[in-house]
Amino acid sequence: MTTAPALLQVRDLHAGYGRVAVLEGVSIEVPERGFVALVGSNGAGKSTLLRTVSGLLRCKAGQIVFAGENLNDAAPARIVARGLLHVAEGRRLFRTQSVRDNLQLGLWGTKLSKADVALRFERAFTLFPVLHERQNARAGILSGGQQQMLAVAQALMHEPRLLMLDEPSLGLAPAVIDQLLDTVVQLRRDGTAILLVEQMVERALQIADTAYVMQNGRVVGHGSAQALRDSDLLRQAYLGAAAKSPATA
Amino acid sequence: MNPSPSTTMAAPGPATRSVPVQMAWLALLAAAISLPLWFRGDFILFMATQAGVMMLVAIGLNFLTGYAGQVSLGHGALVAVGSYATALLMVDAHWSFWAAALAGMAIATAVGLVMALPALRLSTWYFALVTLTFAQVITDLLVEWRGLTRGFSGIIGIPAPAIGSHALSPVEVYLVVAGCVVLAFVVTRNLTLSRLGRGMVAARDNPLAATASGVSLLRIKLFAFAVSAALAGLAGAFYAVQKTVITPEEFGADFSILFLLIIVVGGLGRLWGPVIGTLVFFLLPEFLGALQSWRLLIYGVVLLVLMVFAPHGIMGLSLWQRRRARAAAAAPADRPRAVAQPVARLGLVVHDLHKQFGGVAALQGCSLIAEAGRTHALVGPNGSGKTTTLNVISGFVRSDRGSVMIGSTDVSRLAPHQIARLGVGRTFQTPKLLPDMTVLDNVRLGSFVSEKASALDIALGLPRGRRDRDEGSSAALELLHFVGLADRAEDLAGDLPHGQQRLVEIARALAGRPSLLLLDEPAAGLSMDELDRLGALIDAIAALGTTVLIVEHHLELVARISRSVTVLDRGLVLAAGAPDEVFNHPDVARAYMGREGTGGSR
Repeated sequence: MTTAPALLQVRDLHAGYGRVAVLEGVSIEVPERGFVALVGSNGAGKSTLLRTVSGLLRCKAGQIVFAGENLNDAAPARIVARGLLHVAEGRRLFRTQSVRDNLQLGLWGTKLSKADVALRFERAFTLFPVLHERQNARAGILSGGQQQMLAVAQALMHEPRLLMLDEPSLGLAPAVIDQLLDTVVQLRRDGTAILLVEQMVERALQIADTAYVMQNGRVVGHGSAQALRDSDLLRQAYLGAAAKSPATA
Repeated sequence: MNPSPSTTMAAPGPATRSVPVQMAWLALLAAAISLPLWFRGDFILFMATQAGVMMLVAIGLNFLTGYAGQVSLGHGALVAVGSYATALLMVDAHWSFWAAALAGMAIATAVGLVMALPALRLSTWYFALVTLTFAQVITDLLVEWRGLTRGFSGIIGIPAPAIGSHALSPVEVYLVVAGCVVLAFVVTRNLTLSRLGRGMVAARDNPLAATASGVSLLRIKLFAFAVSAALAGLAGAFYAVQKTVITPEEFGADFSILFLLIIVVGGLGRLWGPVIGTLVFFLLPEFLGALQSWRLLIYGVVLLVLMVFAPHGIMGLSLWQRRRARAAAAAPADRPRAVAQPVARLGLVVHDLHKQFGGVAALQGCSLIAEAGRTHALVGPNGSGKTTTLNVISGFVRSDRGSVMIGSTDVSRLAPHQIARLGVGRTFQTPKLLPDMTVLDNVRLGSFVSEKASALDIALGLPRGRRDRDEGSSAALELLHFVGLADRAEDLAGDLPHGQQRLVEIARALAGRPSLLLLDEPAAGLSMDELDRLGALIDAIAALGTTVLIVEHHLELVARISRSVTVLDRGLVLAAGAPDEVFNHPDVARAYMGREGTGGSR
């Protein structure tokens, strides 16, 4: 372990929608080339945290430092230019553009040689062969799962310093999820730091180094992924949320 | 969010205004009614009556534009129709005002529907253009059809309304108009807060969700148009008797556009918008008589300022927004009544569906049978045609070949809202909620079909309408409890995290008490605890006799809850049978599950 400052440092972050506070003092760190998982029940604030870090949501208090630079009030475009990419939930695609053009847009702001661009496309198409098959189709007519593949592939084109993935497995068939997570592991080996939000908690903890457990807008646990898998904390975080809203017996 | 163990079920309902605000509105009403006592001047009374007439039109137009989302640039013409019809019947046929006004309303409504029927099939802006043209045609007709309308000279000598032999004085006419404004306000308020209002807003903001809940887009828009045309006709009747002389040039295009300005300035889709808009945009300038020549300039400045500082109009300013009442989180019985009543059992038989999208064959012979009251799963690789199958069953996509039988009904050629009315509920892969409506109202949209009160019951607040409102509200709250979201009932649906939006959508589908429930990847994005709840929820739904067809990648969940499974691959059935048979099928393991098989979920 080095003592160099982490790539991403979030300190005591407060954020929310309108008068509703969602994050109430969240601090996390993602080291250079690290792989951090963020787990917790729905409504815990995971997506809000990613949205705030990527500048889509303004923070009310706290600090976001990326690669030594304060990004608190930075515009999303500047944050992307610094190499921090966010794959949001909900398949944000250019629906009237072709699959290929959508992938091309993933390269926006990068300066790559033709050969490198071709390599990126090849990787995307190897990971998701169906995108290759349908590269000239409009993104809007792909099936839901295929759109999710495209959204992830688009972000992977960029090869950022830090990639934040919000539930990339959403709507994907089991076989495709395996491939996708393998690719994320590979990316990390190639030097990209990963911050992964995923409801398949077991799987996420298998591939991450460290993890944060969130509950009700706060970090309630942090440690090595291995240790968290064996601890009771996770179960509590989820059951705590379940106990909050009594429903089916 | 703390669970609030409140013991009382707060009156579920929209208006939880604070007492001071209520008092303010009452004071305004009292001031309006007693106005003739304070001002003896004829001018003020004339202007106040005129403002009441404008409000009637504006309230109707706000109903159509603010709620149903249809922009009409021709409402001035409908006022003209009501005005001329009333005037001619009174002057030429010597009808009493009351009969003539009713006829004027009816004629304006009929003329409006003739205009709207073809135009409503077009998109919003084409509709606006058609209404603009229509208004032009009407004003030209008023000039050219001299035999009936007397051309440019117009109709003169329109008598005042009379009761028996007593002709109403201007003060009495004012009071009648004021009464009509209050009535129109209450009627539109009742309608917008009812299932019809929710249907209108849903048709405007999310046609797919509206249709899936059984709302016929055309019919609900026609309804909104009919209500607003009737109000325009009524306003026209008063316009005629108040002015005593009407001429064609009063009803030009700028007359129509004035109403649009009024409701936009007042606040589109706000109940008080048209009232405030009329006061600010019509009455205020009239009293600035000295500044007559500056009027257009002032209009322009006011509009600019509003666009910058109050983009949602005066009533859209945040200082008017009522604080949302905390949802009453009273725990109802463990099994909500709304869910506990069994439904009619209907099986589903899908036979040999084919569907081609452009060059892609999405379905090439998909068949499946879902036994009544059981849970059936549809799985397969991405792009294998699962969602297309759901879309064909629910009528959103028409198959090229093949048939769908629900119970004993062949639904292959029915429209989606008709299928929904047969008792078919569905959810979508990405939840289609109305983000600006509360969670509770989103669920209540689902009971659009099952609520029985007629538009008249609702409009006048008759017992049947009120019963539907109260029962619908508590049933929706029970359903929210059932899916574990009762504490978020009064939050805006758009503020909920993704996973919870899915559960709201399921609650909405259940509110229609479906015999067949189609779920498209309900587990995607749910956390572990929510998954368990979803499994229990689907079991409970099936136990009531509802047939469930679920598209899902989460194989543990599928194996646990479903009686039978169909596996699709490239639009063809790869395997079908009991879950354990199917998941051990070598082809299925290879095409779908990858190396890890059933393990590894969660």
